[in-house]
Amino acid sequence: MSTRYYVPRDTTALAVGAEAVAQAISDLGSSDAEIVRNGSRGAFWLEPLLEIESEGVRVGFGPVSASDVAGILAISASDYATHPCYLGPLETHDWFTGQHRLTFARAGLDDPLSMEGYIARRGFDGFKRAITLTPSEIVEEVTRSGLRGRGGAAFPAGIKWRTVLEAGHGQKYIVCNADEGDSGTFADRLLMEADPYQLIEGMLIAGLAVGADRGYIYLRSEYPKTQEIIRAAIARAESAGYLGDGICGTDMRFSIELRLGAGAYICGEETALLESLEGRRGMVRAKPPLPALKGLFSKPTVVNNVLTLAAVTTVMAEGAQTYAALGSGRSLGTLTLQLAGNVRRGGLIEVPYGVTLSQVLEEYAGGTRSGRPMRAVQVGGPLGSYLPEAQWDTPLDYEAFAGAGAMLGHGGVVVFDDSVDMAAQARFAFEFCALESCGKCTPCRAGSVRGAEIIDRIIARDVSGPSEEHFALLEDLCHTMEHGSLCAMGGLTPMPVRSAIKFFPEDFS
Amino acid sequence: MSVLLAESLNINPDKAALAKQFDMTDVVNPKEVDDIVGHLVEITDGGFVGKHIAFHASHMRCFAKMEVRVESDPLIAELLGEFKDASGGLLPLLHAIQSRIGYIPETNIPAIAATVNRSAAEIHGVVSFYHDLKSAPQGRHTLQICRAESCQATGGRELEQLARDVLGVEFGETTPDGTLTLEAVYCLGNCACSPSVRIDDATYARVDAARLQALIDDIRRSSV
Repeated sequence: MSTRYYVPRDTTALAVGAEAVAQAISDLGSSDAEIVRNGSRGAFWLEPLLEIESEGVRVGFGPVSASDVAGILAISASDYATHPCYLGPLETHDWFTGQHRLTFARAGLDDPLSMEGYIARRGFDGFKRAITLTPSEIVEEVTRSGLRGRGGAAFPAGIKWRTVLEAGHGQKYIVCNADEGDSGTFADRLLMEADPYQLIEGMLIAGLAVGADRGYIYLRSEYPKTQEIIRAAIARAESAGYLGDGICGTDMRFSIELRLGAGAYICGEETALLESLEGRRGMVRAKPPLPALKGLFSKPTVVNNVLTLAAVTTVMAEGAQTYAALGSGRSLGTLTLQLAGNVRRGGLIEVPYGVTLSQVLEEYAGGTRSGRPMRAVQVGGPLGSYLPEAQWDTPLDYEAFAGAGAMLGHGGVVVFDDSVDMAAQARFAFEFCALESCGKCTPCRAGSVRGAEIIDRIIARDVSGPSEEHFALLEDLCHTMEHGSLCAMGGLTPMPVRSAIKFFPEDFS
Repeated sequence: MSVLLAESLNINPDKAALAKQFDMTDVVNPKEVDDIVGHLVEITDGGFVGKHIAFHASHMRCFAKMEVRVESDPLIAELLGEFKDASGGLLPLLHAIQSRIGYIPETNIPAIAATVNRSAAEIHGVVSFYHDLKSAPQGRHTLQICRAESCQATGGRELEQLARDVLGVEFGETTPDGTLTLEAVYCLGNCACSPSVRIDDATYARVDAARLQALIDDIRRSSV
């Protein structure tokens, strides 16, 4: 019986040495050994993860380095457990048992480009069901599932789709927002690198639902490995008849083009993304008109995040009821969190909405990597609030976070230990906004520069006036940015700044 | 062949004088000519070279019946043909040019503009908007240090300082020997194992000072 070795080819796995591990196995393993370059399961703290499957049993070792390979290959299967890197079957590992994986159920199990593997694990089940429904029924199903946009704004997906469906019969587009720019997030990347066909399937369903025959994936240029995998996945889906004309024996036609961003954070904002796709500067558009009515090339367009489109496949395959049974309040289904920054066990977890941040930090993050106490946790990317310990019991759902003056955004959780200087973090929020503002709205373009200057004066204890005046000016500026900017870049930059000042005032005095 | 510039076609007589200064062979005031296209075909012998800047889109449309040549590098000319008809294909075209010659030469902007039927100013605007698009040659390798929050939480600020000190350049600059361009990047999506740096298309995780120094040494050795 041959042995199969799984070594991920995911960006993070490669960044911590997976290629050398795969090379060592190929050098040392027996000639009938098969090496599968799978996607990652998202437990990045265990990467490079090596899984060995023989006689139907698949067990993991991690993190391993190339120098561990000879030792692992030398022991017999019955003695695996004696190895210090031995993890057992990953499904029973305590980091996974508490998770509820729907969107990431397949992640890391197989070669991401294996069409057979995808289909064997219920791939295209959602699409096959969608084919049997009318467009209106598909939209209704998505609406009833309670699925909300996973990119950050949490807008109900079904309502957006309904608007596009009812926008006449002409040319329409499906645009996948894969410009995952928030620091501390990598869920879109993991999905595209571990399970790219799921995104393609989600876009197909969206195309069926609203009557669109063209899709674009706008991928950020910072993800070169993702680019390779998505490009190959599109080509294979085309040759397998899942893209092109007459898909799966129907009269449906759908094509997907991969487009690369060029390093502009603002292009993650949907209207700036559309401008960029049209070949222009990524300048934010005023809304209305909504992209759903006048989007790409002024045609009705669905713009959804990678995870939203992926979740649609689950909704269609399992039914809206099953999906909506998970979660809490108006946040239904599963939440993808990315544990990042100063954590011991960083990676992606998928859990129902409603668990608290402290549960996640305790059960999954496992404390800081530096060993020092956690002090601040930024949730929701660079425009998200810095939460002090007192707020860590906030349930992870959109409304509870909004109530706490914070936001879930795209689910990034960045942990800082007690060495963090929150005044420097507040300054960085302005600096980042100044760098990445598209320049359309003055409060964002100029306010971000002035904000950084005011914080510099506070830090330097400028004698030109009492510090209360600086804080009053800063608050005034934040107010203007919040209300005077078209999009979240200027509108939410005040969020990390205000939270830093409010909860960590000692760092500013 | 005739050489024209945007100012070659102008109802303002002062601009006509300006166009002559820039070696334009012909100057036409559209208000003084009834059949402007016919007149241009006649004086230019059916074709012309657009010089310095591309003509505005409205001009291009009026020249639809004529052969319009805008000079470009031979390396780029082929790409221009390839992306001519892609809807909204400017970014893919610019990416392709940059991956072929390392940057977007200013001298080719008129040709790019003519290809996508936009003004040269718009093309310049796009190139200058995106961090990835460069208007000048870059180093043989690019070192990107992630400056975003997750990396800041794990020692990224020290790496930023170390890279600047060791290389003796600031972000956005290239070492004098042309080996390496140092860039700031805001998230490589590798945040579970921060801090991260990227060298060309390879991303490295959990980088500490010693590792960064070693990576830089490797680049320098391989570039000797």
